[in-house]
Amino acid sequence: MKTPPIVSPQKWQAAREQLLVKEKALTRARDALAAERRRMPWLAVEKNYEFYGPKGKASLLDLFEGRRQLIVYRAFFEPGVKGWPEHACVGCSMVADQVAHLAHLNARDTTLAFASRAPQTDIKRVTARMGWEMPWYTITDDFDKDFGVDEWHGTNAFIRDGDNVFRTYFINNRGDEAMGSTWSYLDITALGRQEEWEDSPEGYPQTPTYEWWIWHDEPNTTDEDRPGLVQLRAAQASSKGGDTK
Amino acid sequence: MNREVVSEAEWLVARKDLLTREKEFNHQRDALSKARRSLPWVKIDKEYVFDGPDGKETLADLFDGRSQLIVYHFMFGPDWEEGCKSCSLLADHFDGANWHLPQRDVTFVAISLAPLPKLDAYKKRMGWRFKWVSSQGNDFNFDYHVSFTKEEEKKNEVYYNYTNGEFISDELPGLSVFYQDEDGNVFHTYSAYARGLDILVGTYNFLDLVPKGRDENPDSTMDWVRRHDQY
Repeated sequence: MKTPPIVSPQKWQAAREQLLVKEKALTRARDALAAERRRMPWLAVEKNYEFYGPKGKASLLDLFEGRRQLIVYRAFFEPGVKGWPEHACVGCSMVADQVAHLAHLNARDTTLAFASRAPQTDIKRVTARMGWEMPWYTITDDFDKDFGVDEWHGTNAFIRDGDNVFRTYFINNRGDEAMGSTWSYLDITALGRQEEWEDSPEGYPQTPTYEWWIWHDEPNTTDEDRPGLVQLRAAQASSKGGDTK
Repeated sequence: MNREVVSEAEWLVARKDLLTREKEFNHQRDALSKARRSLPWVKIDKEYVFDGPDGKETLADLFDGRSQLIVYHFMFGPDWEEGCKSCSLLADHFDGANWHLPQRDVTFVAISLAPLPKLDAYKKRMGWRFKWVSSQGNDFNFDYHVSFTKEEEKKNEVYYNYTNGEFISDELPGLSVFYQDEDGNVFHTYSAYARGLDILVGTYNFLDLVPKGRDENPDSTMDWVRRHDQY
């Protein structure tokens, strides 16, 4: 690998300050986008949905756990998704790994829940083994279809006014990347994500996009035939199953 | 707070309009990451020795055989009883990412000025797994502009986030990135401070999607944050 110019601290600082101007502009642009999200119109949810959860049957309203706002991430974990019944899809598992202690979102009157088609017994077993603590529900009806997450992972946001529930936001594909800090960390490293699509200086290491993703309990994380990679390739081939595109 | 409630068709029009701008933003972010990879590097000739769970280790040792090292400068001064609460919010996100960072040749460590026994005790209380070493006795925190001296406090002038400003605290947050080549040479490639760390807080990314947003006091943005065992 040909390294970038190696310079004095003064020259590095000058280059860093130039980049900082652009970084600050992006931070402000992000604030402006978030401000627009807060001004999006709302959509009333009039249908009743039924989930199974850790405490039995639950309505969409129950998923709020009494808080004002609800975020539902649809994770692919069900028969037919490779890895079943020992793992949820590898990309969705990586998203789950990156959910921080829930106390902070709860402190902002917000509940984060995951939802999949798998029965609760499988969800309980896998979340316990992987160390995930968010409430994770079983979808039983058209919830996934109605909220754009029947074929692909995605994140829906809701708010309630008393018992009335409104859908306020939906994001999927690369939009879900914002929820995972692994990508943010890699974006500040010298080599970046080291994925083929990236525009990097010549000779930088790059491997096929997403194929480095692992289940964090896989024993051999570099094997060509490791189960996580097999799942990922199968999902990409079928365009189903929740791996970010 | 009472937003306009519309039909599904109208909502979709508004949502798609916002989506166009969100995609533009993602592309801007990719371009910025590219610019980071094109930054020049600085060779580090000074030797720093840290006190950690594996004994005394140099900055080169901390790479643990990988070529890239991310250091989170965790605010925990030598005479503090607890780590900073806002750094603790960031730290609640470290272990999840750190399952995956080694896959991309990245080692992650936190470094603070407080002595190791204090770091160990606090880490245990918070239930964290990431490696945390003490820079007590070396210049590391001062060279990377995250700890400040009594003289700087007295003069009320510190250099932080690439600019001179008033003294705020004896410790401030930051993150630095280093690269080690095949010959063992270590280079400084990147440092970010203040809101440059914002993208590392997954909790904020979620809050940016909900109607109430972060709902923060503009004069003291993180005043709602507590340690996760203190809400």
